[in-house]
Formats: sequence, C-alpha cells, structure tokens
Amino acid sequence: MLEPISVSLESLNLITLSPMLIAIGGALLILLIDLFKDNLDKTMYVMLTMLILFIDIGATFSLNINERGFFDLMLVDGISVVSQLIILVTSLLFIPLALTASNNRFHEYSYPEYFALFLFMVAGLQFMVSTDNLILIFVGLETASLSLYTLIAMHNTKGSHEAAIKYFTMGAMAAGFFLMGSVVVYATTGSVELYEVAKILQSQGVDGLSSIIAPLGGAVLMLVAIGFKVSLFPFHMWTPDVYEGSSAPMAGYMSIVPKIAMIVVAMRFFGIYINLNIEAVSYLIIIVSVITMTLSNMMALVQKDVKRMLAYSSISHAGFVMAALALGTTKANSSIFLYYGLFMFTNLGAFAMLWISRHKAKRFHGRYDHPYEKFSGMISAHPIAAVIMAIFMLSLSGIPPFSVFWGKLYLISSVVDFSAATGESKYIVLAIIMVLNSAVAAYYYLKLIVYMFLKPPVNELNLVYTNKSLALATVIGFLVMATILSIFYVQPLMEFVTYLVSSSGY
Amino acid sequence: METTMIHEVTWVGVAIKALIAMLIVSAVAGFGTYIERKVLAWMQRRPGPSHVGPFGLLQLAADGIKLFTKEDFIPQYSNRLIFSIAPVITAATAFIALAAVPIFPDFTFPEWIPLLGGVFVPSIAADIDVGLLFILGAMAAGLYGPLLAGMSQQNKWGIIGAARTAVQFLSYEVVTGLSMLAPIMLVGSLSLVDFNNYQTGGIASWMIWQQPLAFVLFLIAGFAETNRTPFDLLEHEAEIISGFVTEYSGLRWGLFFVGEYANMITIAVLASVIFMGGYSDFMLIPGWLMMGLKVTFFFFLMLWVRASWPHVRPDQLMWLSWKVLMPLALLNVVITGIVVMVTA
Amino acid sequence: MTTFAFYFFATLITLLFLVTVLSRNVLYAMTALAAGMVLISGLFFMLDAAFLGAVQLVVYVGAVMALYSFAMMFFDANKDIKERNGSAVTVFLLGGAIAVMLVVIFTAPLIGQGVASLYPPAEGATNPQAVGLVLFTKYLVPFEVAAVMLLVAMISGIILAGKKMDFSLSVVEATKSIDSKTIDNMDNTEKKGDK
Repeated sequence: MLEPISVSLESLNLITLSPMLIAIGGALLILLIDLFKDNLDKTMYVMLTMLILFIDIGATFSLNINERGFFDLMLVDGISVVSQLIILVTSLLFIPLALTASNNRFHEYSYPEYFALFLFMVAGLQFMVSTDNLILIFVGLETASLSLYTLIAMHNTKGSHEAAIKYFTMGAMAAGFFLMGSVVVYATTGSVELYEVAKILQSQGVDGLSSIIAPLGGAVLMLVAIGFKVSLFPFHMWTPDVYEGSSAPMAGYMSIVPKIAMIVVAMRFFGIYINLNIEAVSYLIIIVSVITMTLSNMMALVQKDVKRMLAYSSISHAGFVMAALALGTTKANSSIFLYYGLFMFTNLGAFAMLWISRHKAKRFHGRYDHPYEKFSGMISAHPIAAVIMAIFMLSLSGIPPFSVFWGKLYLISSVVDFSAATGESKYIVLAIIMVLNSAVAAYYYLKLIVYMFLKPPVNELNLVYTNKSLALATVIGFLVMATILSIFYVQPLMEFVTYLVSSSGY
Repeated sequence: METTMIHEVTWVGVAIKALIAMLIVSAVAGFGTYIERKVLAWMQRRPGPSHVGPFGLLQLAADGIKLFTKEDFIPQYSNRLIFSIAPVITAATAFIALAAVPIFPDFTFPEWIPLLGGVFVPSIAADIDVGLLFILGAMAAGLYGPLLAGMSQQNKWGIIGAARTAVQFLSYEVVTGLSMLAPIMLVGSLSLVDFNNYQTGGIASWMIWQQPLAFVLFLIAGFAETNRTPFDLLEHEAEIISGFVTEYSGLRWGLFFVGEYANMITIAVLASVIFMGGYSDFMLIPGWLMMGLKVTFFFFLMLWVRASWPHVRPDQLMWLSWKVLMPLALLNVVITGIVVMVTA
Repeated sequence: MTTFAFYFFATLITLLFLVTVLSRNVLYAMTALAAGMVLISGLFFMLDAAFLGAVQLVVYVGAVMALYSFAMMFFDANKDIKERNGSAVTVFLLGGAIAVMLVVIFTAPLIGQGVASLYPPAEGATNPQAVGLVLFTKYLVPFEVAAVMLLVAMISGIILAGKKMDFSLSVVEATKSIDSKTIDNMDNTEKKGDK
C-alpha cells in the first residue's frame, strides 16, 4: 500500500479559488431554489445573480496579488484581477438587461437555468484567466463556451439556433486547435504550465531551426484557437452571423467578455515568445491584426443592418487590441485592459439601445431586425434615444471626449512609444494604419447618425422602443454617463490598471 | 522425467489457456440453451425437450446440425461486409472480456499427468492492474455487435433493435460502473485477484454483506447488459420480430447466441468474484468447485427470473435506469466514501 | 516483440482511420473509427498505461462512438454520402500542405532533446494509483471544473431538448393571455409527461 499523502490546508491557499467558488455556489443555489420553488419571478433571479456577482467582485478585490494557490495551479496576478473585474462588471451591467418591459417577455428569461448557466460561464472565464496551466485554461474555456452556446440558443428564434450551432462548430474547431497547440508545447517542453514552459524554452535556447520549429508550430496552432475566440482575420467569419442571431445584449456581452478572457490567455502564452525575442510571432500577430481591422472595417461599410455593422466593428476593435498585444510592453498591455474597460461601456450601451428597440415581428426588413431605415428620423420621434445612440456611435468611432477615444489614444501612443524605444520605424507605420482605420470606421458609425438625424422617418416610429423599461433605462443611463464622463476617471483608471499589470511583470 | 516448476506466464501458455477457455465457454453456451429450455419447462410444468436422446440431451446436437446446415442468408440491400462482421464482434468482445476474469484458483498440474505435469496455471489469462475497467470496456465494445447488425441489414425492425441496444447498453453501463465503484473503494484495487484475496475469510467476509445495495444494482444492470428478461427489449419478439437478429440465420445467428451466453457467464463470474467470495475454498469444498457452484447459481437465477417476470416497456427501462438505479448507485458510492473516510 | 506490436498497431490504426476519412459510407466510417479507437487502447497498454487504455475503451468505444452511432440512425446508413468538393486540386494541395506542416510540427520535438517528466510518479504506485495521485492532488481543480462542465452540458441538453423550447416567446408577439396561460399549461404537461 502507498503512504497516505498529507497536504496542509494553508499551503493550498484556497482563497485564490474564492471568486470562482462564489460564482459556482451561486449557480447551484439558483438551481436549488428552482428545484424547491417553481414559478418565481425572473426579477428575483436577476437580483440574486447581481448579488452573487457583487460578492464575487468583492472577493476578487480582496485577493492578494501575485500569489499562487493549489499546487501552483492557480495564479492570481495583476492581469488576472483586472480581467476578472472587467468580466464581472460587464456581467453586472448585462444581467439587468433581462428586465424588459413586462408585456414583452423573451424566451431565455423564463428559465431560472439561464441565470445558473450564466454564473457557470462567469466561473469558467474566471478560471481561464487566473491560471497559467493549459489544462485548467482549457477546461475553463470549455465550461464557459458550453454555457455560452446554450445561452445563445435559449433565445429560441430560428436565427439564434443557427447562431448557437455556428458558434458551437467554430468553438469545437477552436478547442481542437487549442489542444493541438498545447500538445506541441507539452511535447517540446514536457510541461503544460506556462511558467515552466518559459523556463525550459529559455534554457533550451531557441536559436537553431530545429529547436524553433516546434515552439513556432505551437504558437501558430494556439493563434488559430485564439483567433477563433477573439475573431481575428481568417477566423472571424462566424462573428456577424452569430451576433445577428443572438439577442442584442448577448451579442454585446460576447464582443467583450469571452474576448478579454482569451486575450489574457494570449498575453500569457505569447508573452513567453515575446520575452524570448522570437520576432516571427510578433510579426505574425501584427499582420493578422492589421488585416483584421482593415478588412472588417471594409465589410462594416457595406452592412445594411446595424447589429451586423456593430459585429464587424467589434472585430475591428479586437484587431486593434491584438496589434498592441504583439508589443509586449507594460504600457501596451495596460492600455489593452483600459481599452476594453472603456469599450465595454460604449459597446454594451450600443447593443442595449438595439435591445430596447427589439420587437418580435420584423417590421422594417424581411431579414434584419435593425436595418438602418428603422432608425431614420428618430430625432423627431425619440430625441433622447437618438442622442444617446449618437453618443455611443461617436464614442465607438473614437471622437473625444468619449470613452473609447481614450482607449485608442493610449493604445496608439503605446505603439508610438515602442517604436521610439526600439528605434524601428515600421511600428510608426503600424500606428498610422491604426489611425487610418479609425478614420474609416468613423464613416459607418456616422452613417447611423445621419440616418437618425437627417433622414425622414419611414413608418410608425412610435413602436420602436417597445422593449423599454425603467431597469433598462437605468442601465443605459449609467452606460451613457460612463461614456461621457470618462475624461474624469480615465487617468486614475489607467494608473490602477498599470499598477496591476506591471506588478505581475507584463 | 525431470520436472521443473514453471511459474512465469508464457505466451504459449496464455494462448493455450485462451483457446481452452474459448472452447469450453462455447460448449457451455450450447449446453446452456439446453439447460435454459429444460429449466424453463420445469418451472412452467411442461416436459421441454425430451424426444432426442435421453432426457432430450441430444437436442443440443440436433440444434447444432440445424444451425450448421442452414442457408447463410445475406439480404440483398444490406451492407454485406458489416452484416458479416457484426456477429463476430459480439462473440469476440464477449471472449475478450472473459480474458481478464479469474475463473479458477491458481493451480499446478499434478506430476502424474504426462507432458503437462508440474506446469503452473495462473488463475487469470491476463491479470492487468485495471482488470475491472478492462472488462467494462470490452463489454461496452460488445454494444457494436447488435448495433452494427441492426444498422447494416436495411430492415426497420433491425434499426429499432439497434436503437434500443444503444440506449439500453449506454444507460445500464452507467449503473454497472457506479455499482462496482463502491466495492472498488473498499478493496482499493481494480484487479479481480485482489477482490478475491479481500474476501478469503469465509462467508462473513463476503462483499455482499458490506455492499448489499451494490450487489442488487449490479445484478439488475447485469441482466440489462446481457439482454436477459425482463430487459430483453433488443429482440423482443412480440414488438420487433427479433430486433437486430431479424435477418440473421445459420451460424451467424449462432454466434450472437454464443456471445450472449459468454456475456452471461462473465456477469455470473463477476458477481461471484466481486460480491460472493470468488474462488476461495469454503470449508471442505475446494475453490474451483465453489466457483462452479456460484456461477451455476447465477445462471440459474437468470433463468428463474426469466420464467417469473414479464418484460418491461422501453420507457420503464429508461425510467428505472436513470431515475431509480443511478441515484441509488450514486448514493451508495457517497455513503461508502463517507464510511471509508471515517473508518480509515 | 514490442516493436513489432507497435508497428502492427500503428499500421492498422492508420489504415482504419484512412477508411474513416475516405469512405463514403457512414457505416464503414463509423466501424473503422470504433475499431481504430480499440486499437489505440492497445498502444496505451503497450506503454504500461493500463488505466488510460481501459479508459480509452470505456470512454471512446463505449460512450463517444456509441453516441455517434446513435446519431447516425437518423441517416440511411447503407447509402453513400455525396460529398461536394469545389476543386479537388485546391483541396488536395491545401490539405496536403497542412498535413505536411502538422507532421513537421509534431515530429520536431522528437528530433530535439528528450523530454523528461517534471513530476515523476510516486514510488511503488501501480498505474491507476499513479494517475489517481496526480488527479486528486495537483489536478483536483481542473477535475472539478470538468465536473462543472459536464453539469453545464447536462443542463444545456435538458433545456434545449425540453418541451418548453417548442414554443418561443421571442418570436410570438405575445399578448398577456397567451403568454402566462400557455406557459403554465406547458409547465404542467411537462411535469405529467415525464419520461
């Protein structure tokens, strides 16, 4: 017989698990409540979920930075904490969007399981960002993805089923590539823990052709997996269809939260290569991201549906962010988080505006829910709504002083700084491409504004905002405030993010 | 003749043993049909086979001749290759599962037997660390026999039979696995030899007293996995002609039967080894005889149940598996876990 | 003996999986895939990873492939599938290039320095015990997260296949009366019609 193993409880550092355990426990609680008491109002579940998310945020704040727990499996560092905060705050703003007007119920919210699955997804994403073990990243990713597919399909329209199946197929591909990438990494270094991988690659040396092939192959496979989830260029095709099919808030949520989690994984994984000065990987990422932002901007120009336009715009924003990821400087990494933190308010707001204008019959177009014509002449019928939508659009196109402008500013300045520091002029070209793309993007955002303010209305505009309720108005009010007033908090926010990111050495 | 004790397991030895076991089991399978008919007849107060030979014993030979000489028929639109492979899969997986089952205690041939004198025969063809899991896996692979048979024969009864196979085997595999888990936790090993050694202390040390619930669950799931009444929905004559064997005839049909009987023997042996003390000696009765008695008892039990109980409906079958047996098995595992933790 | 067994298994597995990919008959493809999975477990047994071998049998052959075949019953299994290939040359070239690249990537580590295991198994542990030791210490968290994942999958499956999905609130322009009443009725029927 074997000796029993004894592990002291302190050495496990269980506190590092507390945020995820709160989310999982909350989800189980919701399932249990549903088991014992039927037909509770969805408001109860919304509030309960928000409460759990609040506690989760508190637990995340109380974590000590740069600690490992559970046999070094959990890793709580700065980027883990900051990405968890982005995930949780977005979730907190997303969940009350379930409280649509009481005469307008949507399918997914009639299930208590919706909220349980949502919390499971949050827990999965939190696991994903707070570890550097490829196995745990993978299981967390799959937990989150499986929940997300279901959450999309639960909207229960033809489009949402199609979206869920498309996303599922793409997700399965991504999972396959992630595993293949992990296998290559494991075969090369004998470890699935990224800090060990970094150490071993460092000691093995990556100079000769034979010793570089396998790590490069792993990076390429991993980039494919990350590309699927972050929707980078050749793997972005699913995004518009999936966003179009899922409900508007879900689309807005998907354009932020799963992406930021995957970007953290990318940061951890590609950080190894960037630290080892393997330039091929950085060039690869930069090329992919430049094509991503340019191509998706071109595609967004010709869209007829606002939701599809926003989908392409979110692809281009993701490309923007990935370009900075290839630099690997502290400033670039912190501006990525700042960018997503600010983009979150605006983008979620824009999608929430689409959500309150969602009605069950397609009144304006045979296929699309939100064609541009729907919004034409809105300034005369719904002046406040038109102004709010315009603010979100201006912010997305990066016009000061709205929130995304600051994100773009920091992001581009980090590229310029990098070029100055390394003395390589090609990064200036990158910065110019990014600026040009912002200019192109302004066209399609302004197109919506033109429709709203300058075109005559098409038909019964008074029916547009059937979905509005006090709760939704409150959330949108908060989002628009955060967008407008960003000038006041962007500096401390940047300092906070930089502190967290630099403390963990990224 | 100089005798040397050969204690190692040689390839030749394993091969010979496998061959012998296969032949014996095939023969027993044939004999089993006779026993089954005789026992059923006895329970239903009719004579059963009685015309061919003394007590109808030669009925067996008659059946064999009939099977061998029957036309081996393959339907025109079926998938010929798969159709011919399917019965072989059933029989082969049943025998593969049997490879990891210990049937008799270790023994050495007595000196007086020519040629084999002094040869050591281990109790098991292949004592792997994960014996139980291997048996489960091999029996799980057995599912492909009926499945492919049903799908290849282009016959609606066949496809219904195949669908029922998939559903029934998958559901009851869960119960089998979970019910075995609790004894595994007590023994701390997946090897069946360890199971046997755990229960050497006479009747009181049998696993059945510690794990009565697991025993019952295992038996019920075993009936379902070997496709015995009351769970023989795969080839339920009144509903779906003969299910996946509808289009089969002759030897191929016979192979399905051999596979089914081999599986019954496997389940009977497993039940005896896991829960009833295995092949250890009992008072004056030697181990190998004990084992024979136990296996016979379980075999008899299967016939007994068949004579006493009607079929269940497919939905009742699923209900029983997922809503009764699986929760019970889980509960059993949890309780066993707590007890093991407290007493350790 | 081991070398021979390896090449024997490897050839068979490759051939079977080639059948899976190239065959136009779902029944052949499925049978070949299942048989290949069985043989892969043979490779595991050869590597003294008996536990993984048995798990490969139970999970892939017993569960995953059985589910595949269950899904396959919705098709006519004896008919050939018509595949639509736009341009055979492009597909061949691209597929071939990717295959070659993957082979290079996956074989590259083998040519390089041998990889040592960072966490050697405990002294005197049999194979299942060694797996158990790692699984329930270092990898307990991923193990439990995988359990959560299965729970999520189960809930998802039950919801998406449930009767409530037959009627969509998101499509029907619901007046209040349809809304609450129909849903209540559906709730009741669902409870009565339990399977």
